[in-house]
Amino acid sequence: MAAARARAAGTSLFALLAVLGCVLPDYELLAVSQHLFLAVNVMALNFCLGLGGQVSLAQGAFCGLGAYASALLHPELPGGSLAIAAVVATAVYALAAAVSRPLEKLGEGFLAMATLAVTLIFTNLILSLSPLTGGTAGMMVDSKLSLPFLGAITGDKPYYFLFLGLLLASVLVFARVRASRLGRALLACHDDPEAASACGVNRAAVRSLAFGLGGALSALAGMLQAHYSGFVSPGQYSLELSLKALLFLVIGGPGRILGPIAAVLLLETALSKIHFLGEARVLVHGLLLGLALLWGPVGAFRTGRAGFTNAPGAGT
Amino acid sequence: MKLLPALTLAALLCLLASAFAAQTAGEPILIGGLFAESGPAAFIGTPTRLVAEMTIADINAKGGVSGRPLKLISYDTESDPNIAQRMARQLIEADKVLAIVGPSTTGEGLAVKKYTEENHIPAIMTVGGDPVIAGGKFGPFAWTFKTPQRTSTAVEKIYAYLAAQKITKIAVLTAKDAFGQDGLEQLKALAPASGVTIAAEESLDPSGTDFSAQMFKLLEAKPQAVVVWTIGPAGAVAAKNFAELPGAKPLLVQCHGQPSPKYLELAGAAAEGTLMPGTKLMAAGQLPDSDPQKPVVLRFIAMYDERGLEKQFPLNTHSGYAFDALTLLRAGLEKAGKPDRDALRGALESLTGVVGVSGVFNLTPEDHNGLSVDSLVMLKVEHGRFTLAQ
Amino acid sequence: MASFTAYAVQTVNSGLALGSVYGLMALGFSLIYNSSRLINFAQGELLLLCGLTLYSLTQAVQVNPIFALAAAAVCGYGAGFAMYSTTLGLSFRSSPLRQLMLTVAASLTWQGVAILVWGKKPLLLPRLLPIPAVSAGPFYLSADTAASLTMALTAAALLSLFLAKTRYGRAIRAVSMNSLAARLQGVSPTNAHALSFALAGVTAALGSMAVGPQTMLRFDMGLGLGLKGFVAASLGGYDSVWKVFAGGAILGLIEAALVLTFSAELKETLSYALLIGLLLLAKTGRSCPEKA
Repeated sequence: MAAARARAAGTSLFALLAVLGCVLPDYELLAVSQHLFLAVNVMALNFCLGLGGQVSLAQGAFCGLGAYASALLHPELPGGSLAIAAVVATAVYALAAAVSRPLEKLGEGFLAMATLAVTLIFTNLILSLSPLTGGTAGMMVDSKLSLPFLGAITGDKPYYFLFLGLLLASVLVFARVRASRLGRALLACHDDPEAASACGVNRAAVRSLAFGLGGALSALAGMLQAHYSGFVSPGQYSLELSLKALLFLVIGGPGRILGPIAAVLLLETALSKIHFLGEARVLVHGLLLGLALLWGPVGAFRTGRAGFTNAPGAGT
Repeated sequence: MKLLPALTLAALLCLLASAFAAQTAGEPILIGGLFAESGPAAFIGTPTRLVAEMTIADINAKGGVSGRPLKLISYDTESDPNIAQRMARQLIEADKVLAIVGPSTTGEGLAVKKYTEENHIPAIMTVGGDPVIAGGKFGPFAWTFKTPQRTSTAVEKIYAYLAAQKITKIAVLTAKDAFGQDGLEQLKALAPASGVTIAAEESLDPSGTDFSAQMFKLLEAKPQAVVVWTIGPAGAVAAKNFAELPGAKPLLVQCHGQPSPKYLELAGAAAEGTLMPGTKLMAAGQLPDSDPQKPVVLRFIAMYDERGLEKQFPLNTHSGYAFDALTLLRAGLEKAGKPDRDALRGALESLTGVVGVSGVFNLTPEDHNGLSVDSLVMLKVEHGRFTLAQ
Repeated sequence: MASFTAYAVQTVNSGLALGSVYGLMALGFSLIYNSSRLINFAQGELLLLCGLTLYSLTQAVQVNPIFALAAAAVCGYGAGFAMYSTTLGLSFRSSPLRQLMLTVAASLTWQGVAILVWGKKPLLLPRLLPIPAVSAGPFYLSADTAASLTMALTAAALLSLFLAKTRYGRAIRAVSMNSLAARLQGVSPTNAHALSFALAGVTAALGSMAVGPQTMLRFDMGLGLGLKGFVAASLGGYDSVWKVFAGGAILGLIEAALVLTFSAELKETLSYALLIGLLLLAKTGRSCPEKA
């Protein structure tokens, strides 16, 4: 029953978004597209956090890798968007999986810090390689994405539906993985890492798979974003993106699908409407997130352990 | 029966008001503003908006442009390129503005330019960096203009000053951001022609907190002058680190983004004797009467004071850029004769002799800035004040 | 050779100047981490707000050194306690992840307060302690470095005495070793958590006195300093006051040495790579976050 209800809610959410895509004026669509971009990153993070129970702040780096790689590869291989997407996704998948392997044994906060360092290293490398990447100023992306049957992609609507499609794909893959053997292994790692190991789950292997999937998804989102906005700069793929993705996922409930997406769409829209607050915005931003964390819906972290609460600060 | 006189009075007032309004009759011309009022660049963006509003009010008080008032619709870009781009589109697609003034930082400028160039919207930017009007890998700039001096202009000014002081060997410390990167490229590119050799170069993180290690390394190369290229407090930090190093020291030259009372306050005694190119705004009182900019600069300062802006944002080298952008816009509109984007663009790039706060603008299709070396003066900090360096 | 000595002297001077601040931040970090297993993302904002409050105080009244130190202690204690009551104090029953994210939200909120009250421009905190520059032979410590170092060393000494000798200090240590057992012995973990936050606030306030005159205070400086504090704490290994403090000093020296030998470009990249390496080293052998 619950699964059917969730499916119905999901279908209506996507139908609503598709309708929005048809009726909204172009400049409003741009804002929603930017929210969708963030939503894809949140879903990407959901693989390692929601399923594997690993906090990662490396999403910004993976997303940025996709964006920069695509921006640099397109002039070399005009028209080869699909091939480039495949190469970029595979490469970032491999990289993310490789990065996560040694980090697997770190505890929650430490893993967060280590992956945060990954993002900072990425940003600093982009700055240091300025002849290639344009440094802080970033670079213009003139080449257009071109897809079979659609040709060169321009305009807001096509990009909106590409983002929507990518989000839908990530939701479907996520649901599929969650219901699979791999998903159950990941959830086992999440609930009790030692017990999972004892039961024969190769923890490092399954978790790096989740990390890799999330990384590849972020890279694809970054690729779309680079061609849509027409420029790439390190500021777009910085720690801020990682933190935002993590915040929205935690607020929406890690491991769930609709909660995080709804959190992104609603809160981001709300936050973009508080321009009138001026300098008070940072404060309101912080308070809003704090309130959402304290009284928002609770994610998969506590499901299955209802009634049991850790003694304060007992770790794990 | 007190109602009747009251009604008469009200009617009279209405008439009077409409008579005043008729002075700037006609539909207002909508101008879009993009300013970084929050985020890291807020210290530039917020005063820029206030100056833009002040200038618009001034233009309208003088009868507007061809009898039509200007109306500014502005948004905060949060110092974020993505939001700047989104807001630019909102200005054009929803608010239907004629042209855009701003944004405030180079990154935002590039993001906005992508859209305005494709859709043929004139944009007069107040960004420091040159890439927006550099062409080449940064794309065409037919519709993009900027009012702050080019980086190369400031570098030429510094090199000319150094040459006059018989200084040929320098060391440079540049910020790791777009602004500093630009500075480094120009410092290197113009050095051979000016007979200057760069003995050492180092970089600094503009949000960093201590650069004494870099300064020390630079001094090891025994330069005759050290040139620091960064906006904001990092320049003051560098000056302090420089002053604290033991031993005899060469000249310290800052870039044209630095002159502001904040620099003096933050660097304190360490600012004494440092040199930097700046707009004439910083030494208005000392300008010779023959300078064509003098009346404009003095009038700008008077308006700035009158509006009470001086208390909130003490006058600095960035203050005049929005004034200049709107001055150019008005001159362009008047020359074009009609509020039409194509005509405005054509008029803008053929403007000559427009006197602004930052200099006398002579634009050409190749030069969308139009300021020459003469628009800058060399400033020296003496007794905690900016004075014209000899 | 003369040049090498000069390099070394300069490295020590600029390394220790920030290293002491990193050390103070690291002490706060590890106090909170040890007592509650919480990584406090908002540690840098504690420093920021304490520094700004001190700044306002120096603007309002003439401040002598003793008064400045007392004010810093009171302000830091209050700020730390306020941070505790708005993050961990509200979320005992939440998952550790939510507690972590709450400190992120706190960091934004405190930054927002700083922006509203003190604005976005950097403010220069005057030197509050009359400690002169020191030079012995070729060695040389600037006034800022000397002041930071003195403050940091004194704070570390007092803190280690407090933890070792006083009843409250022992309570914090007991909770950090085994929260449940401590509770069975009548020690309230809640009080120990609150106290550790308050003490972290005091070290942050001292840190602001050390960093304020060197680099000024600005609303967005918190995260960077907090991170460096975390790297320093990881370098020091979290388990002893002196080792944690040494971690900060060493991080400062490494950074200065990196700038002098390579370039500032690489400094950040290398120090974060170092962080990852250290975390891995520290955790090898311990398969999972240990359970209390």
